[in-house]
Amino acid sequence: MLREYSAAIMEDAVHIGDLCDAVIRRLPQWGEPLVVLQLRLNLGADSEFRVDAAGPDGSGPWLVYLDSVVDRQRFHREVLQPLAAARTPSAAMWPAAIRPTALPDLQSAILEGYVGIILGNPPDQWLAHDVGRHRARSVAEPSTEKALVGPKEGFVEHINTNLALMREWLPDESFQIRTVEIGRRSHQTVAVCYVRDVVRPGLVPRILKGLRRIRTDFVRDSLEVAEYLVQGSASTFPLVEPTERPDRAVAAILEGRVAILVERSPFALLLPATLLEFHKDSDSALPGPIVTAFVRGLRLVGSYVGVFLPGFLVALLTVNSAPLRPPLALAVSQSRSGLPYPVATEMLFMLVVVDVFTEATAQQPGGVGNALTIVGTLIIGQMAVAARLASELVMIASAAAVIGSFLTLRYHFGHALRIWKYPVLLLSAVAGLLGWVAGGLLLATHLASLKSAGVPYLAPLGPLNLRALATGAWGRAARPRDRRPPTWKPQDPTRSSPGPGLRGSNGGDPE
Amino acid sequence: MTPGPMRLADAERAWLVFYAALWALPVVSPRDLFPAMGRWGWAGLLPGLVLGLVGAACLWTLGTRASGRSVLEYGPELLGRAGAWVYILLLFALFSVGAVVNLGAIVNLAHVTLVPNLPSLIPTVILGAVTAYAAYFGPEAIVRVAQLLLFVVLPALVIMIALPWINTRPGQLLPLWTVPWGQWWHHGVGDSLTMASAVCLLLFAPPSGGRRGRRDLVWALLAGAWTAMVLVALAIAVFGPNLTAWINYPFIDAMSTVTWGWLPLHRLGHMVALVWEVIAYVSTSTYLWLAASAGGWLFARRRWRPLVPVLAVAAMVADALFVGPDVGARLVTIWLWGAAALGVGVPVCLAVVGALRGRGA
Repeated sequence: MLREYSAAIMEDAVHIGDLCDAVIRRLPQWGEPLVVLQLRLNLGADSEFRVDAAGPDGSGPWLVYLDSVVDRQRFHREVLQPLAAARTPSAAMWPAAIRPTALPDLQSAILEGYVGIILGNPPDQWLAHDVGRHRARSVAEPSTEKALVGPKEGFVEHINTNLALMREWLPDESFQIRTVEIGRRSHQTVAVCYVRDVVRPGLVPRILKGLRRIRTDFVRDSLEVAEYLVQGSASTFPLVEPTERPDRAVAAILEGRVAILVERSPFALLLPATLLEFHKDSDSALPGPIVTAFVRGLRLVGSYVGVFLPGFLVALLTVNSAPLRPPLALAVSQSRSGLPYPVATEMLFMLVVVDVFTEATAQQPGGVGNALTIVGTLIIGQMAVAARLASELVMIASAAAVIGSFLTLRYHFGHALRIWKYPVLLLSAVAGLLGWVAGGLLLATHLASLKSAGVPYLAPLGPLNLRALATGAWGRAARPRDRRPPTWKPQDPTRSSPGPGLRGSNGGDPE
Repeated sequence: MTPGPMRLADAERAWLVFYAALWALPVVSPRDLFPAMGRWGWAGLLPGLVLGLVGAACLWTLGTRASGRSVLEYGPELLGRAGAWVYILLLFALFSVGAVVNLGAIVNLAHVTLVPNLPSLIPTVILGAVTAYAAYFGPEAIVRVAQLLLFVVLPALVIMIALPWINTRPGQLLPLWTVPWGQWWHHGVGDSLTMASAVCLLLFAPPSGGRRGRRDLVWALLAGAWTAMVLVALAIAVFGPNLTAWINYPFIDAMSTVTWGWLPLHRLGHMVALVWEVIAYVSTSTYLWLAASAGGWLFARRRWRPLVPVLAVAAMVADALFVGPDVGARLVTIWLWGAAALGVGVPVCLAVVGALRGRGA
């Protein structure tokens, strides 16, 4: 009879509820509690589904679990051995177990790696004990945000490990975590981390509202969550800052920002995000404010050299050659003699080729990537010059543009910069320096129009706030360090009292 | 998206006024100044500064009395519904003309100094589109761009003031007091009107009422006028009063004579022209936004953004058609006198009426 019903179920899934009821009604002779029978019907299609009768001669309690997600050793040690030793199994044997009150809760627990322990029919005799096989890689150095000096820990795919990493940094009662479940089918946990008495009022509810609005089956990565949060923005620039470093996330929330951790993603999302944050590296790697200012300034300027250098060169060589000194103009014209294309076409061609190579090598494993790089640089680059298809100057400019786009330390931000060099180049080719500056103004206006969680993307450059520039975006480059950056509008603007500390002087030892 | 006032911080409002004053003074106004004033051309800017300060003070007082509201909000209270409609219609026309004049001026600047070989339609379209893009995002975005560009503009201004000294002959600014007072005031009128065009944006950017805002505004006007005076004086000291009168943009050409040893580029006039394009961009997009905002109040009341591209295209077409210097000069005159009358004159009258009504009550 069961076969008949099973066949009918397979043929016509629409009536599955009715058929389940029928099966449950007509097969009491199985001796299983109804809940086990229901679980068998709901989850039984899975080949890994197991129902073990733990009692003598096949009677209860019944253990229901999925073989694929259960750690067999823990299962034996924590469930089977106590059961074998006990005369009368009771709920007190598993004090850490959860007590599902309804079938869907029990079902979810089993799917997550719990073993369902059914002592009887009523829900108060159901237990779910965690024996899951939680596979997680160990905490390692972040692959996308390396620090020369400083902590080497990076987030992993397991959210509890990530939260523990942050807790280790911040064992303070004001460090708060709010969780939301997203993913209609994946049931992923998203944790919103903040410091209660520092974060801007209204920011956390706003983010939680955005997260609760996400309607999807599952999210592959935290960056997908970021896309949902900034829905409606067609900008090429990321409005949420991803980070792999717990120390960075902790530093951010102590300034008044919010960190979002997503289950199965090793990237935390920091909100709000501003342009200068994407150019900021780890403080601890740099000794002193002057070096910090120098390195950060270099990175900032270098990043935009990649956007503006090709266009500037094209403008000077095509439309506005008057500012070129005669020796330089002669050298350029000699290097370009015999080339078949205008410099704008040449530059566009080279930029596209270099970007294609960058993309080709970015996703390839080490050996293949290295080989592609050698082919790209040595063979195609040199041959293009030798065959008089491109001049050395254009090769240098296109290489500088690509190198510049990687100075941002943030892979996703580099994409935006790589895209923007094309409109600037095209405008420069059409109208020379005027087009070049028009391209720059377009970029500046676009950046000025963006906001991240209510904070202007250009802050603290626009609206200009020198104090915020000194305390936040420029970090250690300037004093005072005892204030939190006002850009994030923290409730508590004071970071710490200056205090006497160790006084050092130029050429002198600390006292 | 209501066509509300510019809710700007004190410093932000002051920066916009600084940009407007800096852009307009040396580029728009000196067309009569140099031939008439000769070596005293720089001093001709002083009456403009004084009248600009007076206009700003009146607008400030009016805005403060109206509890930090813009003319779009307090206009109907003071003038009645129909009166306010007519006044804002006139402001809409004024700022539309302002957008045309300013766009025409930056296109002319670009055409003369940067791209003389290109058809003027290309810079018109490029600059019109870029300014419309900024105006579309409203005053907040414009101010943020202006503040970001300070990191380029301020060093450039320092360089512009510091470098041409090597080519100056200070004797060309002498002798003193050879220009009759009447001529001085007569030609200073043009500059006072230019200053009015800079301060009339206070109509839509009402004051916060604090002392700091007043101080920032005064500093913006002083800094704009001082920079313009220094640049004009430098140009006269480099070229002499007679030659300066024949040059379109004398302070830009003054930089073209500079060659600095180790720089890979020379004839830096091109770079100065670029900086002035940037300054002009901020002002032109502000006027375009003001026009769209006034139009939004008049026609749709809620959505002013769709008006921005319409007005920008109209300005581009007008600039492409009115290429003749006569029409252009006439438009500039309308713009300057209109700005003085509607942007400063009417608000002063309103302030007086408001004060009288208040006293009566």
